[in-house]
Amino acid sequence: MESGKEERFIKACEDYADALFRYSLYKTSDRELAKDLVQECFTRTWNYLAAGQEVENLRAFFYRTLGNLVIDEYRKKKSISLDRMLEGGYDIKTEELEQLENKLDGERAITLLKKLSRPYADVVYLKYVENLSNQEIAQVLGESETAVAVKLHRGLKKMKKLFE
Amino acid sequence: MEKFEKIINNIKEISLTPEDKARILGSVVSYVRETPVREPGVVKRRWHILPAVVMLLVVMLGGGISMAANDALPGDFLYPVKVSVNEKMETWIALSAEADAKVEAKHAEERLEEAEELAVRGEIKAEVKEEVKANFKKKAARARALAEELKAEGKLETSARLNSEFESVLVAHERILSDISESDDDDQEEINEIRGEVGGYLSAAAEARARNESEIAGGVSVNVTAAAREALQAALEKIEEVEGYIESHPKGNTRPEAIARLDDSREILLQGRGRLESGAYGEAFILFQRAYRMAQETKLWLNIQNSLQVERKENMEKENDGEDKEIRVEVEVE
Repeated sequence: MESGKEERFIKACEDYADALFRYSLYKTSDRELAKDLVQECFTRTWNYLAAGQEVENLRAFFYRTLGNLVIDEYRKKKSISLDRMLEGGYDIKTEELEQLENKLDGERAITLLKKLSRPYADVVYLKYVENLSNQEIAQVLGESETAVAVKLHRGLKKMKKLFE
Repeated sequence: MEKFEKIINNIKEISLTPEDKARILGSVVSYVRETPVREPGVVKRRWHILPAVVMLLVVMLGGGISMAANDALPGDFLYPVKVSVNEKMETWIALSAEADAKVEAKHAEERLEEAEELAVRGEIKAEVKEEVKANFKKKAARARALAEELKAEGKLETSARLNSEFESVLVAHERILSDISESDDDDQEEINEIRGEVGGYLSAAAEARARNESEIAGGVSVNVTAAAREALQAALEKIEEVEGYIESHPKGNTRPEAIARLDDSREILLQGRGRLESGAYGEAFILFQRAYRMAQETKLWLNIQNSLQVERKENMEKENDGEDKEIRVEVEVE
């Protein structure tokens, strides 16, 4: 039975590795760091499971762990990511925005999504890119479902304004 | 909201490269294997040996005898301590069947290293040979039995890996024993007897490995994908390691052959990658395992070749000097 736990875990890692990498890249804007954090997220989660703890929703647990690792990383290295630059008032000029739109690819799309301030962008990201339910987003971000619903509503409105 | 959808879709396309994904999953699989779920049953089963372990620790700390015994050879005063105290303790503290099998295989290999060391020193007498042979048989049989047990438990990939690793060790030692036997007329008979024993276990390990592999290739196990990725990672690391090893031993006429052998191993790895990409995970697993084995054999072979060259040189000096120097072959095996 226990070896079943191992197999299920490895299968889950395989299923979610890409999505978690995407989320990690969205949060850090650094490919190498993003990969390291995904691996660390898997290791930590397994430590938790191997110690006999149960996790109800492994997928949400992964995102939550990864989110915490990103925060730890900021604290540790004080690394500058776009996430921070945007928070700190960095803004992309309109002409740059147009340029970016012309050459849209994944990472540039992330930059555009981050035109929203982070609380909104996170919720929009988890909902529309990763298709998480409001309940799961609440678990990942450690917020109430109502708060998530409100941010989602406002976030979408802002998105509309920005990109219509 | 067309632009918004475009943005979301573009983000959704971000993914890991297959190499990065394989690397991450490979290390996850290894980590999960090294960090088993805490099973109360296993811990309980081992409790009865605790007093013995404590006693042995006291012995170790008290006299350092067992530490000193680690270098003992058959016929030495401390050799029984090495085999019946130190090695038994290593077996006790190996908590999983896999760790247990690795320890037994390591001990079997140590018996061969001892035999080689004695043979090069010219000290392999009939009774010592019997002792080495009996001990090797015991350890090798146990390693095999554990690999079979794991297979019966459904851990086919682990079993295949253990057989494969043991096989590469046996191949290298078989080759080296044959080398020694050719150059040593006095002890030829003794060495060949040990060689025969090694050969028997070698074909058994190779057969078991081939059986496991064909079952894996048949795709009966759900674990194949993960196993293939782990095997790829292991083979990549091994090839890199052996490359570094060859680089650090630039001299000697064995080098070109080692490089050629490593190139063969890379070629097999490449074929494996092709299989992996086309989704033939079972075949990919087999090829990665083979690439790993070839690289590992190359390292062992080069290592022992180098040691023997040093040894022969020293032996010649010894004959010229007429001094009774102690000569040791350092066989470093991973």
